[in-house]
Amino acid sequence: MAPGTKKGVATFLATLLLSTLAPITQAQDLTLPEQGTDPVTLHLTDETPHAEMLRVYVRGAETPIAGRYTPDRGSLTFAPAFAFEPGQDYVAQILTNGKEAQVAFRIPAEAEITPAAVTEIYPSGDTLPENTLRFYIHFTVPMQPQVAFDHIKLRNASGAVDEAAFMRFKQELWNEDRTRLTVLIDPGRIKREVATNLELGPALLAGQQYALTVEAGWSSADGTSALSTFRKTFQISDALRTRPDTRLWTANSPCAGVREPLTITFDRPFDRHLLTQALRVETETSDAIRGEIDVKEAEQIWSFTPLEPWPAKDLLLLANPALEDVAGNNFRDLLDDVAGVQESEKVKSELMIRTRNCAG
Amino acid sequence: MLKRAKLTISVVAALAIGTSALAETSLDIKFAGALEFSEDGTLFVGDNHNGAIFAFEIPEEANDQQIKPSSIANIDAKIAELLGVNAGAIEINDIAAHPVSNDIYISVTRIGNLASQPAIITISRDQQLALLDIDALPFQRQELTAYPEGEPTFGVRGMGPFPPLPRDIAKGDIPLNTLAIMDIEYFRGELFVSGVAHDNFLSSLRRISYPFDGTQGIASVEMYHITHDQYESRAPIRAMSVQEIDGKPQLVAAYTCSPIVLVPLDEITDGAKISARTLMDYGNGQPLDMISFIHQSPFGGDAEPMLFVTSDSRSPQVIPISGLQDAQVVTHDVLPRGPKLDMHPLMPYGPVGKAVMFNGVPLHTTLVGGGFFTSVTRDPYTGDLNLDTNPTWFPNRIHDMLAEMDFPQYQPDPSRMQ
Repeated sequence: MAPGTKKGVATFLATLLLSTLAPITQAQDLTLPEQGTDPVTLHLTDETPHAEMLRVYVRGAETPIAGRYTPDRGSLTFAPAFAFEPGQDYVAQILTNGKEAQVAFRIPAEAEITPAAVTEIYPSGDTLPENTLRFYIHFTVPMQPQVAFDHIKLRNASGAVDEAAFMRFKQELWNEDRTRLTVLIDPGRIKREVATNLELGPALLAGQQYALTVEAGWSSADGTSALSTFRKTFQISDALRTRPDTRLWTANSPCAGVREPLTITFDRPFDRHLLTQALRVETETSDAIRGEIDVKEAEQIWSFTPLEPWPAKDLLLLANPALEDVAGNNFRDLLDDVAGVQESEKVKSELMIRTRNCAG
Repeated sequence: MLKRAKLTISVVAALAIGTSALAETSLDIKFAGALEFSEDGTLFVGDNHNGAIFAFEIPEEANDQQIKPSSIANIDAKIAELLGVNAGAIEINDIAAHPVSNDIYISVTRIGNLASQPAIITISRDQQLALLDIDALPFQRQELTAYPEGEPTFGVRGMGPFPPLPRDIAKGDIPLNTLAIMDIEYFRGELFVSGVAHDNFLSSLRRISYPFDGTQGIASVEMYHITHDQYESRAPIRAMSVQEIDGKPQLVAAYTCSPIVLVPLDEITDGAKISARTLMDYGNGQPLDMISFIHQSPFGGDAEPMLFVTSDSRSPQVIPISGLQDAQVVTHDVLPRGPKLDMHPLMPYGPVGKAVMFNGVPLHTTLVGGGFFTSVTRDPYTGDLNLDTNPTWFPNRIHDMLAEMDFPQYQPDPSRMQ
């Protein structure tokens, strides 16, 4: 790659951090790079420049960096074969008048580094059922692994931490780009008459207030920043112990021929992540309709804006029977089936939607 | 005569290099992978990211410096320092020796903050590292036809009946086109290139004459895999060598897990569907390099042409070429059916030669000056990556061993010696 020709400006503010290095004798005579493609230039007043006067190293290295040395009248320029990397520590070694000096420098990082922060916690509602199973915590950047539960706490109204609230796995449940962590309330605390439920009682009790906190100090995976505390408080309502059923949902009747959103209002909050993939819209003749999904109102409203105007046909909303509400109940099973009691009642996972003719 | 351009610590006059009249396009190499030299010093570089092969003419003068065993410790850290990054921010992709000067060429990837860039490092006989200034060299470029898409990635499976581990799952992120060029063999003015091609080709052999004229032949290759007991046409040839077998030049080609097959060169024609002749399978493992050399022990015996086949998971195998002549071809009806893993009593099968001692794991190996192997070797004790040069007749360092002869009291009894 071609080394840059832009001349750097003398910046000795750069990094004179290296106290172990010899004092800078030629400070005013060295131009350091401001950008990775800038060269290092040694200015000389009383000596003829030659290549042996300057070497540039990665800090601590024994082999000098490859590049081109160009002597000119009164100066010697070193252009690295590959641009200097922002954030990497470098050292320029100068040998003039029989004296050696070393100057440390660093190219400032070009991009502003995104600081670690929590952006969302789902379920996002202010009131959650007693048997809420799963929380999703979203971060701005990938986080340091294997310390999640040093920082994630469930606190009651008086601030006391429930150390047994969460299911702990050796493998933390991160998404692919490591910015979303799934946290499960220990199902043993939720399922009735299971040992931990009997010993400790449910982690969340109806009528009480709790806070899920992500506490300060959790470092981003690259170590460049750490979280400040994020707190989500919520009230607890009675447990959800019925299966979802589309007959309990309401839908608007969108106008045919336009791209008006179809809005489904649920009877309960659903799993935020599953809502983006477990519902689909078809025409009555089974043609799939593509559109954009929006989830609102604490995961109780699902809206779907078609990419093309609605056809003048009736529509069918199809729920994947595996779609779960926030308590982990799906169309087939309750998370917490009571032994011996069969779910005999049929539930529906489809919803017929009529389009309207709004023309004229 | 053109001198090799090196970007080291030599003084280069400013503005001396104008735009070469020869260079019609600027060099846009994205990846320096497989390396191969012609007998007069043209360096071929496989660029899996562009789907192209670059050829650089690198005339060098013969070097009368004697080749001796040597070792450069932490070669990866030294290369990283030369390229201005921390140790660990480079990957070594291949190694080759210049046939005239015997200098070592190493293809690497420099992993910067924002982008990865290719580089080729040279190591002189006096162990000096330098960056090859490929921008200053005349080059030719040959595009690959049927270059595979980047999107398709590998399926994920666990070991046998066991569920996949995270490291197995990571395999699912590897794009297919990183296997577009696995090995390059130069033979009598032509390149033979193994790798993965698009669509119905997958495991392919390309045949490209040099100087490049823009054309190439491409053939798909199927072979019977003894260990897996199935016919395979997707996984590519990993390493290969051209040898005179049964009176005609043939490719001897090594596959993963780990059959070795023959492909007569005259069958490698554009559009051909080749059925390779499986001769052997030395057990499981990933072959890395296949090097043709003449074994000659200093303690006597005849000179014998052999192949030295390295692996990432077993000792190198030396295979006498004589064993490949008139050899039995193995198909599905020759052996009892069913998979045959490494420890199966029938394995290794065929004229496999034998496994030989090697200190550490030779991740990339090349023949230097006929009598030496130079390899980027993972040291078994320190984990360091070293550049080791050792004689072909016993390619080992003996520094780790304290044998009888190393004891100060050692004094052989003359009456009991031959």
